[in-house]
Amino acid sequence: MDRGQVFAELRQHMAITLEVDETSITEDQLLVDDLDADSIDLLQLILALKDQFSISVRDGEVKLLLAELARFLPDQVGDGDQLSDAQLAEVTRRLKVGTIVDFVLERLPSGPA
Amino acid sequence: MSSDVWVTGLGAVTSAGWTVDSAWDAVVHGRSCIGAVERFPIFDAATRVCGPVPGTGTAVGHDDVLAARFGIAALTEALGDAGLVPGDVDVLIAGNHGERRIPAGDESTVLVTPQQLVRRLADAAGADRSMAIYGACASGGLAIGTAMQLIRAGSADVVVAGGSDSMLRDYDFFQFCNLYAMSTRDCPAAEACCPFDARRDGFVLSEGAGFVVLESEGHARRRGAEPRAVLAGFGSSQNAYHIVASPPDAIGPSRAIAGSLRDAGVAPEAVGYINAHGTSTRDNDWCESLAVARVFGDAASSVPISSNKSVLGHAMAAAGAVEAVLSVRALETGVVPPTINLDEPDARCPLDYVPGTAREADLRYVMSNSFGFGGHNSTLLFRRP
Amino acid sequence: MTAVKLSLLSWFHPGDLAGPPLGEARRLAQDRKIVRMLDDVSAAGFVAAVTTLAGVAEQGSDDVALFTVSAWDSSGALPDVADSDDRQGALARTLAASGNPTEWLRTLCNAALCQSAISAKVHGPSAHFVGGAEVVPDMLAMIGQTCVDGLAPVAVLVAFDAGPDGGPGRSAGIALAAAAADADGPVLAVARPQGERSAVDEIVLLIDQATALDADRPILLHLP
Repeated sequence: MDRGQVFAELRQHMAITLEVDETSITEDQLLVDDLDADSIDLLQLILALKDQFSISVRDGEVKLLLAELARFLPDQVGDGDQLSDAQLAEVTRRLKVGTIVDFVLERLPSGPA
Repeated sequence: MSSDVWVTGLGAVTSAGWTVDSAWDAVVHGRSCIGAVERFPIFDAATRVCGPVPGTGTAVGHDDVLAARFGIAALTEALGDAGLVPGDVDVLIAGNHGERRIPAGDESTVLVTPQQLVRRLADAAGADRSMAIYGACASGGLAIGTAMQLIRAGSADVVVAGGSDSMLRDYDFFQFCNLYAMSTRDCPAAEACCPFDARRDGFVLSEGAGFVVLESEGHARRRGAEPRAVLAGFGSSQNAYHIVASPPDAIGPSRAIAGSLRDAGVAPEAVGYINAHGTSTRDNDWCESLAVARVFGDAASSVPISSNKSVLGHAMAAAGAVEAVLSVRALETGVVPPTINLDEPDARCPLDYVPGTAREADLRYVMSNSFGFGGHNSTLLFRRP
Repeated sequence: MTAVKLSLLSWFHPGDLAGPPLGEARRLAQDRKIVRMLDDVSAAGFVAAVTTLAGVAEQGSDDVALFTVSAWDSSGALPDVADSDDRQGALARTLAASGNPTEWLRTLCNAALCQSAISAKVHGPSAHFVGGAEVVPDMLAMIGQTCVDGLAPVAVLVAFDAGPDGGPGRSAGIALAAAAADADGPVLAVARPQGERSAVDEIVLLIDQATALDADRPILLHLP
């Protein structure tokens, strides 16, 4: 599965969950500020990723998921897995659609195409 | 109505045992009641710990309604403690979530709805009137506050109020897993629940029941009953923020706290101990600390505040009622129970949480907080008679 | 018998629901984050609450109390699983691996109350009651005391339930304020309901009886 395919699948889920026009979603958009996602939306998205891409995400990992997503941000937030509440909030605010695509690509069972 | 509302009876079933004394003994000595989940298979769930009521273990029948067993036992203890019998009660008010379990065949998942459970409890109490109140984790506190209002209004003289819950069944346990709300820390079970600690990462699911008998002062005096405590104030508010998240400004919880003080006509400095909601979630514990600081001001740093949940776990709709019972015990004994597992302080939680060891104190007023999903906030203020 | 002096400030009658509850909720809320937490029964409660609250918005206070009552219980939904000899095990594994948190949160019986409070920005006392007509008199006593004690200047009471044959919800709401102790108004005796009836019907009865009286003066409610 290549980047384009992952993005297309992700857009479908986001369009339904966030009630936005699928074609208007771009990789550069911020999940929170541009697409108005909240913590429950992110939770729904993670569950959709688990099912759609057969990604293993143990429920305990979700708390680390944001820290892990931070690795894909252009400017590093915090170091390692231990992020403070303020840093986790910062990560959430800076998450882009493209960040999620990067995360999925790395986690695909067969590896990125 | 100028007479007081008295607490004349206490009853509780918790992860410590089937009596008030067992719960009080556990919290005062800081003896954790948390262990591994053994009641049903949990597969790869990252949450591996819980606080079951002793004697239930793995021997829970498929159609057993645990909340009914817990609730009937606790209200029976409370009535006996008050010197009353079933039929003496005007109203029973109880919070609960109903009870569910994963079905084996075509039967319903739902064992009882909240209304059906409360009717069973009302039958056991011999009460013609009942109210199934719901405010998520604030339900127990709201039940007791509502009972006080009925007595003040002259609608009732004797009200049994509290909560009874068992969400420690497979169905609801997995729902909480999917909310990522429970602790998944890799540590000994007894250490998992660590309210106000920097390592806290979610609540530990427990179960049980708590009931108080509230009585109008006039009715109690006429029958020669003595108060265990006076319910002096009740504050209640709504966050209007989010179904599960705590408000970043803590205004909702602080309204309830301030409201209880205003209702009782006392200043914050009069409060000798705050029995916290203290769930060990990242959200609640800093929000509650901020709310206390907002209302108590300079006095916030010197009022002890501790969480019974660090020992017993979170009994959901029963929690506020169990903690009300334990607040009265604190008033009676002059002992403030500790918060256990508080080893790494969190800069966002700067108050005196009574870490590790119980403490003696001259208590005139004890406050009990309960905050719930859906934005419900309840604060009860008890006074020593 | 308890006497409570309350003014009836605004109300919502089941007939005021202009269309399917979820559609009306969507129109009023203008916010998908609110509507995602409602089903087609709790949405009726949401519409009644928000509309009744709008009727007292000019009071200018955000300390309005909000109480809801319903016998509606939508909990216990199960995921689809393939037929097997161990259906319970299959259900457990599926729920453990991939339950839907939004769907579960939507079944919490205080969903209508919570979303109404968020939408209307009210911060006063709040609680949901699971029950029918039988609980309304005690709720009115509680509301009267809430106002008398100064916990809230105005209280809104909303009832909702599934429609006939379990269809889309129906709802009713009233906004009440405590009247002065010396207020002199008509008396409305509230009887303790008999049998199993929806709280919606009890609120409708109250609205009909109250509006038949002189609504310009506070009504003295006599509660059983």
